[in-house]
Amino acid sequence: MAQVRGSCESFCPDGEAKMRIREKLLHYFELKNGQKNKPGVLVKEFTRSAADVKMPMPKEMRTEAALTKTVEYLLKDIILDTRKPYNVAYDFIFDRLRAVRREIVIQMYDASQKICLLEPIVMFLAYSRYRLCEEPIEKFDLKICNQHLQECLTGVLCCYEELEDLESSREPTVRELERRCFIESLYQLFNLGSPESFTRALTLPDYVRRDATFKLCFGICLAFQQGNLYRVLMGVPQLPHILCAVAAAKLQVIRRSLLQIFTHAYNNKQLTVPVPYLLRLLLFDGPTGLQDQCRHYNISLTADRKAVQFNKTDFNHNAEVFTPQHERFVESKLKRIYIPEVLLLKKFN
Amino acid sequence: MADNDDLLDYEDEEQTETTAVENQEAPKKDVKGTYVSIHSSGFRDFLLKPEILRAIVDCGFEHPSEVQHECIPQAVLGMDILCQAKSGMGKTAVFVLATLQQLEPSDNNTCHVLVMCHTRELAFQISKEYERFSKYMPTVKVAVFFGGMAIQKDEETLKSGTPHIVVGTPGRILALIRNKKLNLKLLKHFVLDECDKMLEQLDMRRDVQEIFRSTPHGKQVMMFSATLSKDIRPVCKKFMQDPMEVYVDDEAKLTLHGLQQHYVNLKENEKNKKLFELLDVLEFNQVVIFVKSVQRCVALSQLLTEQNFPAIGIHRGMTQEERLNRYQQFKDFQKRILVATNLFGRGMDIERVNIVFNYDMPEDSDTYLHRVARAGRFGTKGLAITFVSDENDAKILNEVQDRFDVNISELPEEIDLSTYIEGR
Repeated sequence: MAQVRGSCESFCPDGEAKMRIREKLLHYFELKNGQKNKPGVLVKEFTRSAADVKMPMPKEMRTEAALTKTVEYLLKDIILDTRKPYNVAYDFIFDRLRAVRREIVIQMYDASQKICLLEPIVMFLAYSRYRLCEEPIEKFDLKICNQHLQECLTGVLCCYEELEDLESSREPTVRELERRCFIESLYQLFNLGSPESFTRALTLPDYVRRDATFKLCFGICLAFQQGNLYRVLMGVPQLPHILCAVAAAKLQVIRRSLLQIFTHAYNNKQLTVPVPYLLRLLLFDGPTGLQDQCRHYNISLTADRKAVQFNKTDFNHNAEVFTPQHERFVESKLKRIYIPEVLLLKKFN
Repeated sequence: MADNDDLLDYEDEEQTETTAVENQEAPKKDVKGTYVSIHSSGFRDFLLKPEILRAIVDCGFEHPSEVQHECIPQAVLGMDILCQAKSGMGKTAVFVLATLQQLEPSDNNTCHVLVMCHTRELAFQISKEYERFSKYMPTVKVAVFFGGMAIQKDEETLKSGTPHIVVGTPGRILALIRNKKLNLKLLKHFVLDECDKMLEQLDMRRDVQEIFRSTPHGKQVMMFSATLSKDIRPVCKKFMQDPMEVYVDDEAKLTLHGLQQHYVNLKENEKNKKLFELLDVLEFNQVVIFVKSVQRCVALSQLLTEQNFPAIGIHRGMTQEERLNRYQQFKDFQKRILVATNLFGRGMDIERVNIVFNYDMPEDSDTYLHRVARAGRFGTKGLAITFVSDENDAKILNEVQDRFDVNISELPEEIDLSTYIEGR
């Protein structure tokens, strides 16, 4: 049972390129200067396996070097292409990266090969999840993105473990260790509140647990497990760019929990809690966000809107959690970075 | 008096606490819902035979789907399964892998697995699934038997050796049993795919029951469908012993993520013009257009061909050879538009279909669900467009929206390509 090795060295095998050009199945980002039906750089598209489909031939699959270049092309050139809204680029990149993942499976790459290709995919999904979180479902389906992010994360974590168990493997480079620390941190934040991911954090190798970024993440997760939402909220803005974006997706759940707790803790018919205090605590930019939340969960504001009246019987338990939104403290971090550098894990701070 | 007041306060407080605790459970579940165990790293965890794992790898499968993850561990242990899951999420692979895992191919001339479904094309497709997953199990023999082909050919196949796995439609299987050509006395696995369809039609149910009675008592029974109403479940369970039951009780979850659904209001005589416009404007890999009768299928596919669209029709009125031939042409991407009746509405898996038209309104919400699920399969993107031409059509569309809690909006003038074409 010899494993099949791809021999195609371009982004898209010849056969597929010819078929798609003939049938006019080119994506906008595959056109030359956006001209309809004029082929530019084609990238192999994802087609899922189905009954009665032949096993792909070596020339229909890309070499490892070609796959690496494909990932770099997508996360360096296409991701910065602003001629279309980001959700269009996301769909294209998502599909093409899915084709890469499929070839990883078919070609039966070993753990270290998989890690190099999967880590940037994890970063892309995590970044896009934040960036598109305010889009309606027809533009961006959060459930599908979450599912794939989780699958890629678990895939790459299993590779880390596989490498550790492998006695013959060489000592990892500093860069590789840094990448692992970042991905392990991302996994913890993406699964915030899950006992299984938290348990994993307790059994990781020392060099991961001693990493400053991971320590911060672990502290946030521990605080969450302990119910210390204050410490969670104080820790989140300290995280680096992508991790901050991942954690921001949990903010609305935390805000809801904290407001509900406050309806008991500050339950009082005479006394109120000042708005500035709550804004700082709940990481709101301005009063509007807090007012929206209070209205949504049926919490009273004073007439002058400078304070909140907490009453434990008022809280609307049936109100759904707000959908995640962009946060100013995340936006300011993302503005300061060069996205390709971060997604390809060449820079961490 | 004072004591009574105190007691009242105490009770109030306790009740509030209880309510708060109850509600706090829900968000936790939401968090857990998005979590997939680190240890579910793939199909490896099912402890399948290496030759099966190798075939799975060749297909490029990364992770088991939710239904596979839930059902395969029980199915490989021989437990009876009654399973409802979304279309296009891998129910077929559950019974194919489970039965291959349990098969002892050294047994020759003995049929151990029987899979039945309600259409011939689906039977053909399932046999292909078995072939691809058993490609590294050279001694495994799979045969497919369905009506419309000469029964003599099937009988000759059986004479030259009993296959380990038989896939077919109930009518033909029953005929072969009655003619004493197919012996199921040593059957170990009995599978019904799209079981509600088979068991709700009384004539097909009778066939299934008679076939069932010719099999041993201790076999494993597995049944699958995307639509398992509460009425049909007890009927299915009568064939089973203490099955594992997997249902989607929240029917809103039956519709596919990634599938955009729209409708168009128009008169009957405006349908063709609108269809041609949309086929020109929309970019698609492949399209399935559903109509309600054989006559309309013939007429529409002919009309499309005359208008130079790459169209092909498939319906019950064709010979079986012609049906399979056209199915294969469409599957091989030689034609990109398929005009079909409901015959093609269940279980068929063409990986490049990303648009479905309900040219004629389906007769009920079940049929709607199965039709539109030809697109958006396995978490890919898709678009479904339904033509609404009278009050009855509108009524069925409302039933669909109510039942599945899905928003089927009017088709916008300018549709965003990225919402239904993967990476396009």
